[in-house]
Amino acid sequence: MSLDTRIAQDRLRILLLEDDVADATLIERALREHFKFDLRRITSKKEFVSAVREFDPELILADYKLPQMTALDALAVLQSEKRRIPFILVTGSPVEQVAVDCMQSGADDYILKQSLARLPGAAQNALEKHATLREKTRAEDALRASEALYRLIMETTRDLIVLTDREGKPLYISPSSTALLGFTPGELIRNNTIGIVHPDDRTMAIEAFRRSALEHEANPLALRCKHRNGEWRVFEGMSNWVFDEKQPFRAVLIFRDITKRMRAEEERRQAIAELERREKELLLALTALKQSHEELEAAQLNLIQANKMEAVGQLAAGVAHEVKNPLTVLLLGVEHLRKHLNSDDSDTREILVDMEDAIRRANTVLRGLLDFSVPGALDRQPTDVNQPVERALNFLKHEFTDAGVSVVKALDPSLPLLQLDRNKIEQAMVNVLLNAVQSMKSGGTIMVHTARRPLAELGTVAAHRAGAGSQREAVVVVVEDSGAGIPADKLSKVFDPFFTTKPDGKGTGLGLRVIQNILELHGAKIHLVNRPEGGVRATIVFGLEATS
Amino acid sequence: MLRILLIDDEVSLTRSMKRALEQVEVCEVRTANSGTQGLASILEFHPDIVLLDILMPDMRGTDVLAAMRADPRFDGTRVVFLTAVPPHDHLAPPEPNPRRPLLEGCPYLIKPVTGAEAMAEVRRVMAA
Repeated sequence: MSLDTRIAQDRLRILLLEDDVADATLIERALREHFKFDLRRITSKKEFVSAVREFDPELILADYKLPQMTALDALAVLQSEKRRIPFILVTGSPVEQVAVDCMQSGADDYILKQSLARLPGAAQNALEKHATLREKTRAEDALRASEALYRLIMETTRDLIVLTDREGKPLYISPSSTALLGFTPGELIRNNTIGIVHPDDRTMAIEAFRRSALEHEANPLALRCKHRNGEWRVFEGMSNWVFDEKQPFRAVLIFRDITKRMRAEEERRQAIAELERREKELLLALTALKQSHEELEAAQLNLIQANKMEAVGQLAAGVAHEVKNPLTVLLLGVEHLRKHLNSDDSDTREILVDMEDAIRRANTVLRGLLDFSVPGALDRQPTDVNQPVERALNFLKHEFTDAGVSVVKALDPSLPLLQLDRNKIEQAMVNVLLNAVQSMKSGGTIMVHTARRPLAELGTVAAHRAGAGSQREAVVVVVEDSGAGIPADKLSKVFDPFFTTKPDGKGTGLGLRVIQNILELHGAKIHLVNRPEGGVRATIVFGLEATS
Repeated sequence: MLRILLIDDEVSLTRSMKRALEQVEVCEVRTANSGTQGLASILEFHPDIVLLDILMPDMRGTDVLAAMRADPRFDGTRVVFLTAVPPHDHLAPPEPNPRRPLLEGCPYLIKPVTGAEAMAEVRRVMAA
């Protein structure tokens, strides 16, 4: 608000110290044309003091000598009250010393009563002078306050605040540098500031600084700085530009020490990684535990199976020995009786035929029991599976010839060695081949081949049976015949003990079970399918450990 | 005349088999019901061929064969095993089969067999 408008709007409060009423009237008149005002006239010091406090004058006009006080007294009151109010001495006697004393005590001007025409101008000047003074004081106070505030901020902040010129040369560094880096602001400004930045971070920091000037944007970046004690500290910094005529002029860089935060984050990351690692280990251990549990179960089953087989084997051998001699005696007896039978006794002849047939059937059952039994412990040796296959083929070559069956072999000569009990595998192969021969009533062809194959190629059933996942490759033995095949509704039962499709007395229904027992003891599987072109394909799968 | 010695611990079996063989063709059959008795009989009887059981209480048929092979006095005596449970290969076809593999270098018959079957094997071995 300018002085003029304030004077125009409000009435100027004027305090007049004057005991002469005529003079007071003259003074009032001199001002009237220039100011709108409220004037209070007082004559004593007591009145002056209360008027200063209550009336709150904006201009004081004072005669020098009043009966109870002087202008100097009034000025002393103002001084003690710490009031600065425009003060003009209006006096009748031109005493130079009085004027000088008053001016020295704070009066703004003095006017002789003879020249009251000067009064409005002097009043105006004094008012303006004081208004300016008040403005200045207020500005100074505000500046002082804000300086104090900034100083407080600068001195108490834990961030590092750096003011630089446009080239990045530091002009000011906050005192926090001492705590953060061990260097005082002065030390940092005097020395090469960039020298404390990690060599690997310098180029990046300078680039970021330049870029921020061009992009007019504050870009946070992290950089490592070396503390005076040699430790590396990580700072997150941001540059804020001050522009002059749209040109970058100063930059305010604010850095925060994030070493602890980084360390905490790193520790947290490591803790999480450690947790994840342990979780993985646990999962692996769990998987391994499950697997070993399954293996244990399988081994236990195998052991039980092997024990059973051994017990059955011992029993069968004992029974066979004990029963076969009586069977022989019976058979020889039947033979004898048939020879000495009256030729026309057809009933008796028929009975003897049935008896011989019964003896032979009983014998077949005994043989089946013997086959079914597999001595418990395997005698495993590194074996090329082709060897027992060849031996089985050789063992049965007369059977093939008698049945009019030709054999086609395709044996892979470079198969990996397997841990096999050769005799047992040969026994299994003989059984497989016998089944094939016996399914071909009027001759045909048996195709035998061996190969190394990925498990995935063997079809889901075979792969599953061999335990897909842990084993990726397998050695397979495939036997294909051109016989009658297995009726579809019987395919699922062929491994059941005593199940047979052969005519009464011709099969015990134990052959495939024997094969399966032997193969299971080796961790191998057999898979039977009817071939589309007729006959059966038996695939024996020996899984290879992925590591082997 | 063909001289056959039957060695088997079961008396009813040797008795039946002796009768059966003698009915198939004219031959002289003697029997022994233990390994030791059998070895003594061979030395005394000088059979052309021995039908030899394997599982016997005093000594196994394979041990009898070993004893025979160790002593030159038994040279020239042929042996056919007659067994309930042939060791190793009980997978051989049940019927007597002239082309069946040998057991300890000897052919074998698996019980039960008829006199005719046993004599056929004896003849085959003698002809060889």
